[in-house]
Amino acid sequence: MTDRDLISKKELLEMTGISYGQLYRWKRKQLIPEDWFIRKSTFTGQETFFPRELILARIDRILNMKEDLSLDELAGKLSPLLYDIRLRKDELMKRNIVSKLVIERFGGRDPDETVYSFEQTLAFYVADLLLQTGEMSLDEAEMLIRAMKEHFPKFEGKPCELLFVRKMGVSTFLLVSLPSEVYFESGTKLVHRLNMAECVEQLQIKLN
Amino acid sequence: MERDTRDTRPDLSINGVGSAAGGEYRHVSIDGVCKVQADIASDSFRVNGHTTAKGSIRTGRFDCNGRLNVEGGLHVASARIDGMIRVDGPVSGEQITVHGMLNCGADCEAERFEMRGLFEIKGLLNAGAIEVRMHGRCEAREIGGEKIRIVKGAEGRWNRLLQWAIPKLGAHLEADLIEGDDIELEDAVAAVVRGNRVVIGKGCKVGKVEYRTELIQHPQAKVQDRIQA
Repeated sequence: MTDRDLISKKELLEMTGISYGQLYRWKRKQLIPEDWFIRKSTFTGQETFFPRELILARIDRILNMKEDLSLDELAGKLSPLLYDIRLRKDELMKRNIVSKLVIERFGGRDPDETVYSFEQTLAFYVADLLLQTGEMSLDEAEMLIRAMKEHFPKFEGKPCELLFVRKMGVSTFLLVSLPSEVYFESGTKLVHRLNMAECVEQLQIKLN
Repeated sequence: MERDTRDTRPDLSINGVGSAAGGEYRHVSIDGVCKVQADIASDSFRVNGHTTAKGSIRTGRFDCNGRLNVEGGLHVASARIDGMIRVDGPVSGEQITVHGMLNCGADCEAERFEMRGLFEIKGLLNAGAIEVRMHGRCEAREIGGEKIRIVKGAEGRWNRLLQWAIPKLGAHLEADLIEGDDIELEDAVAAVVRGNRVVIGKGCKVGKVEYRTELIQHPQAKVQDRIQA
């Protein structure tokens, strides 16, 4: 993660208008996951940073939902394991969560009222994401969806990362748990790297 | 109290010297010297004397008089501790009141944290309201919350002599970072203090104060940088 993707605590509070007390309270209530607090030393001493996109989206959601729900109820809603969300195929298309192309190609045979599990939706979503970058072909997408279906549930919500590598035109996908270090042989190209937790988060925001 | 017939958990009661296995209990009461060998969970937990727990303690109402060492974490609804307590793991609770000494190897979280005595917290002290009267050296890596008030406790006649003999009894606070909405400090040594309204009292040595609405500084306090955000 580069510095560009991080936001300092001070900047965050200024942008969102929340106070230190609120931030600590939300941390206590586990509305903000522990591993988002990234401690770094700067020239002014220790500072705390957050992944920019994730924290801004999360705070926005907390502020919006705070009115109707108590903090404890919120904590339940925001937990990273919202795997009980299921969505129907036509809904996925209508709400533009997954592009039509992906759905038609990989779920074409399923009737419109098929209900997809969260993992399945996530696999579609990730495939869609990578296809849109133009770095992956449709055949590879099929491979990705198969790999996600087979192996993603094994992580049981633990943080993991998807690696998309290619060497001499042969591509493959790896799901690795985080934190981990991976090294490749020199001829290998790491085409894309995706943090699954971030994908889950983004997908959840779209689903709600 | 009416006993729920479906509740099959037993009570644990130890007087004298003993050892207990962990597990789930309704009420735990220990008087004397005891060792708890594994994780223990209960509705209420009362210890008098000297207890060592090899695992974690999870309970509703927690009362401790004397000494307690916990090698895991301590998770309570409300706790009242008179004496010395050492927890190697994290401490969490709604309301934590300590008269004496608290030693925590990880983070300490509570909605309300009240204390008279001294503490050493290796991680973050995070509470809605923190109210501490220091009677010795207090130390935390980081302190965060809404309302933070850490001041010197009343001094007795013999205190000066005692402090001279045992330096640890000299009341002051050490922390890297203190952040909150409403902060009041006395005899604190901190690198950075950030808050909305900040009161830096007598004997403080602070590297940098960042405040939003108000900063009140005692003439005998040292602050290197003041920044109004």
